[in-house]
Amino acid sequence: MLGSKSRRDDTLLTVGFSLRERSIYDILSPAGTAHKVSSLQDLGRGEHRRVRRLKPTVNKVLSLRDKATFLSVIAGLTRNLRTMVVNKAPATILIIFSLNCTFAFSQNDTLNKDDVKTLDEVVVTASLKQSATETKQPVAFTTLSRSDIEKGHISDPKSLSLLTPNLYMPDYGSKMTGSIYVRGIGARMEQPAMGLYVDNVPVLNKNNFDFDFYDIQRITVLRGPQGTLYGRNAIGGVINIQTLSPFTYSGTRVSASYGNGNEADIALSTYRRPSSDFGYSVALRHHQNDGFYVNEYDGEKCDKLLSDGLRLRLQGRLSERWSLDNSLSVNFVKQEGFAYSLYDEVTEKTQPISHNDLCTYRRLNLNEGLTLLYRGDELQFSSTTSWQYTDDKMVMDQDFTPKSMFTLAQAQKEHALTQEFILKSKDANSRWEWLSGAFGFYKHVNMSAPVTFKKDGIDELILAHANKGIHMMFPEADLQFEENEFVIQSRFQLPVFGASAFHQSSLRFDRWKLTAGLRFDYENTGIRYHNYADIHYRFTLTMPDYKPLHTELNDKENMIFYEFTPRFSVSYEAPVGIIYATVARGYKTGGYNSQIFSDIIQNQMMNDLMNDLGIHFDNLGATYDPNAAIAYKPEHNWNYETGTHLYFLNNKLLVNAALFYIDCYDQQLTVFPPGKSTGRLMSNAGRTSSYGAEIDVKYSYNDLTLTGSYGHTTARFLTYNDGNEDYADKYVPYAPQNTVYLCGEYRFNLSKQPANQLLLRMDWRGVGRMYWNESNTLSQPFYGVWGSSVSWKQDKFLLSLWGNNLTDAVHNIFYFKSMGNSFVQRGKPFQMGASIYYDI
Amino acid sequence: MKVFKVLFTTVAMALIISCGDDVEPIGPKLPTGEISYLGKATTGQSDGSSYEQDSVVVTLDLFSDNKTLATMVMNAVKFASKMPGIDMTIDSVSVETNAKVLLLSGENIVPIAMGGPFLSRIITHLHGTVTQDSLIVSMNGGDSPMSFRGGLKK
Repeated sequence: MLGSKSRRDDTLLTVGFSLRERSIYDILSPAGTAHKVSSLQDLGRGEHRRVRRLKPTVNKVLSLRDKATFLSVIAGLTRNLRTMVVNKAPATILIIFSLNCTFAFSQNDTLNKDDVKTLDEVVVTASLKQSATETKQPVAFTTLSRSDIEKGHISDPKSLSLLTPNLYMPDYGSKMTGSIYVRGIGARMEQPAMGLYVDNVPVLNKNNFDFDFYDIQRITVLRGPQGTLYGRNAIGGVINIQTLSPFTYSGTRVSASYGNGNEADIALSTYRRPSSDFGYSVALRHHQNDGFYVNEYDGEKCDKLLSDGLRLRLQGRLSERWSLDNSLSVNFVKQEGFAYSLYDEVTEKTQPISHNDLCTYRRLNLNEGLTLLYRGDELQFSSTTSWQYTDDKMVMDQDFTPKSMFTLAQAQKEHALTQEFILKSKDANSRWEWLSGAFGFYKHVNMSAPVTFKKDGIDELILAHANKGIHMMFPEADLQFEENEFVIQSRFQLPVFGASAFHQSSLRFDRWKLTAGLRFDYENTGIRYHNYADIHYRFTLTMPDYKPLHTELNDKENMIFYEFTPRFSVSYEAPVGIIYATVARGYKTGGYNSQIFSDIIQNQMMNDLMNDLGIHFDNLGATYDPNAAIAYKPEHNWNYETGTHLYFLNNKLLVNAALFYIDCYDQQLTVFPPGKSTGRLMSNAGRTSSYGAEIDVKYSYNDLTLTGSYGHTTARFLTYNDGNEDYADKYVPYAPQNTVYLCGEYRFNLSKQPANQLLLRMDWRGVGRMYWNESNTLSQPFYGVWGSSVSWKQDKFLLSLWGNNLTDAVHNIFYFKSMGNSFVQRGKPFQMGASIYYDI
Repeated sequence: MKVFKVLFTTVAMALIISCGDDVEPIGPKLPTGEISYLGKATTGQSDGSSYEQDSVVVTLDLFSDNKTLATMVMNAVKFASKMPGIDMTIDSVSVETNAKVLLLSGENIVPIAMGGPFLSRIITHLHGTVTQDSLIVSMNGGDSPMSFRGGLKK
């Protein structure tokens, strides 16, 4: 952070700009939240006092008539960065114009953002964990501004995939699927590999990870374990999302988009600040499409989507030192999904999607987050409280074939509470900088997951298997069920709570900075399950009538984890950037498998039936000790990393690079029990290692911006034997070995009026190879997808024509097995559309 | 008087003998109730060979009718190596008390297995002896000769 080394920075003053609106001052309050004023007269008394010393400069900004004048002011500011500190009671005004980042390019901005590349983006954040400038931090990161998000049509977390090196979030299944793979770490189900924070609130349920973006101010992706500050499930990193604040934007926004697949997207939002101390916003979004995949069974599209979102935000300053930020968001999703195609592993041919039973997902999600922030003379304090409610239901044809085999209807209601307190030293530029905190959470899930076995499923999955053994002895005899379908009822209660304490200190020695941190986590997780099934059966050789059979599993289990996640780093600040080395530990919490219970109860039912018949097979198939089968342990890793953030060519060229090695213990992998099993199982896969390199480059020159990133990961099993095969030295499945993102933008100024611009944008995202199974016999080779947009911007209005997967490249993004069959999901086909944005 | 002496002596001897029976048994005690035996089952195969199965548990419920019948359960017994074990219940086995053993016999008994009458294994020519320590029994199950020899399961 540039500025004084001894001054207090409890108030930040940001000079924003807009030629259309003359000038705007974004005053960062003591809370760290910013508000926008259109003139100096809008400033509060305290703020007047704080900006007094800056008034000449501010007035200079106000008097801007053209870009050149503005840039000269900026240049002047930049030259004086290290001394431009105003320190007067009760607070210090610090203008953050440190190097390295870019200004956000809002629709209102009429200047060429590339002309101000040398300026550090003003960070508008209420989180004390986040640094004002990641560029000075010893961490691999990617930051996306609102402009990046909107120009790149980044509409949900999955569209972040590949934008940052080694981050892969495949878009398959439904919005319940939130798989994240980063640096060889990841999993399809249960615990996520990265933490997700929205306005400082941790999203506890991975089912809620995939939500529609609207009015996102900034996204920061931190790669590598962030367990010291963020705790559980930040084993691969953290995604921090900041929504637009009424203190950083005033006005009303309208946008609409339409594309093939009847894709329609409408957003309306308004951001108001009735007084200098209070602001509110209301944002709405509606999104729908008819889908892109056809289910040949009925000729209908099978991935229709309807999504609605509402976000209310209140921000205010309670006093000079206290402020609050309250955000309530409601998201509703209703979709059809699971466009899975039968895949022939030998011929590598994919059959058309064809399933007879309905596949749907519905979710209602409410998030309420309240942050109280105190910025004193010596200390900063924040309290973040959240309540998260999820009500979702997934209905799935689990065989994904035209046969009536079996279906799953998994419904859950979840309540979660989180509370975090953070204390932080005030002066980020002092020799000793520290942060301490405590975190606690409670989450309770009520889940019902009945599996319905239908006629084909009873015949092929249950009776065929049983009769195979019986026919060896009695060729003419059969086991029969009276029912054409029956239900395996599964009910769960999953309570989990935890508490954490953490501390991190940094010591500066001239250009060197040493950081050490430690976090202790306690977590108590449990499961209470009640599963049962009732059938009537008959053995034709001996039983003239059907006989009832009741199978039941009813028990509870509990696990307690204690975790320590330290972090050590050293960084050196050179004139062209920083170089750092970090050692950090992360963990992904353990828990209980719920999706294996259909297998367990089915297995138990056959055992009960055979015992009832008095028939004893030497090998009845896979047998389970339920309490042992459902539990999986935490996954741990140590990440050793060295990296750099560099700036060249008068800061027009930005280079971030990192090398990493990860030693991972008990890696959690989704496995499919052998044979015609119907469940999935989270398993701890022994030990894996991954190493790789990451680089991302951004070059801006006049109207041209080039961005590129490349990530490589080699992730292998060191030890993993599932009892059937030794997978040592095999690649970890689903984790891509290479990710590539290339993007070029060029802006044509159509007239001398800066607001009249044409923006051409082209990007290419590549990923691969990904192995689909532990034995590495199936894989998706490297492939790339083109995207493009042409945007015309006129004052408050922007029209954009865009396309994705322009070459209609065919590729698989997901593979799995069910009942011994292999399935894949194809990547989305060619998409195109038009979007308009209007700022009122 | 002599007649009385002889009668007295006879009665006294009889009392002595009868009292001695109560204190010290003469000959083996015969089993009763439910007893399990662990041993080897042998089943004749159609090719003339025999299939032997170790560790078979046979449970006898002697005098299950409180009179002369027993119920014999052959637990998880296999008739061939690749077949699953079956719990086969043979009801109404006749029990005859001998001086030292119990004698089992039966003819045309339909065993109960796999939820009902197991008609393909009708038991004929069942003969066996039971002691407190052992069970030896042979029979025909359908067309297959079967036998069991085992000791008391502890």
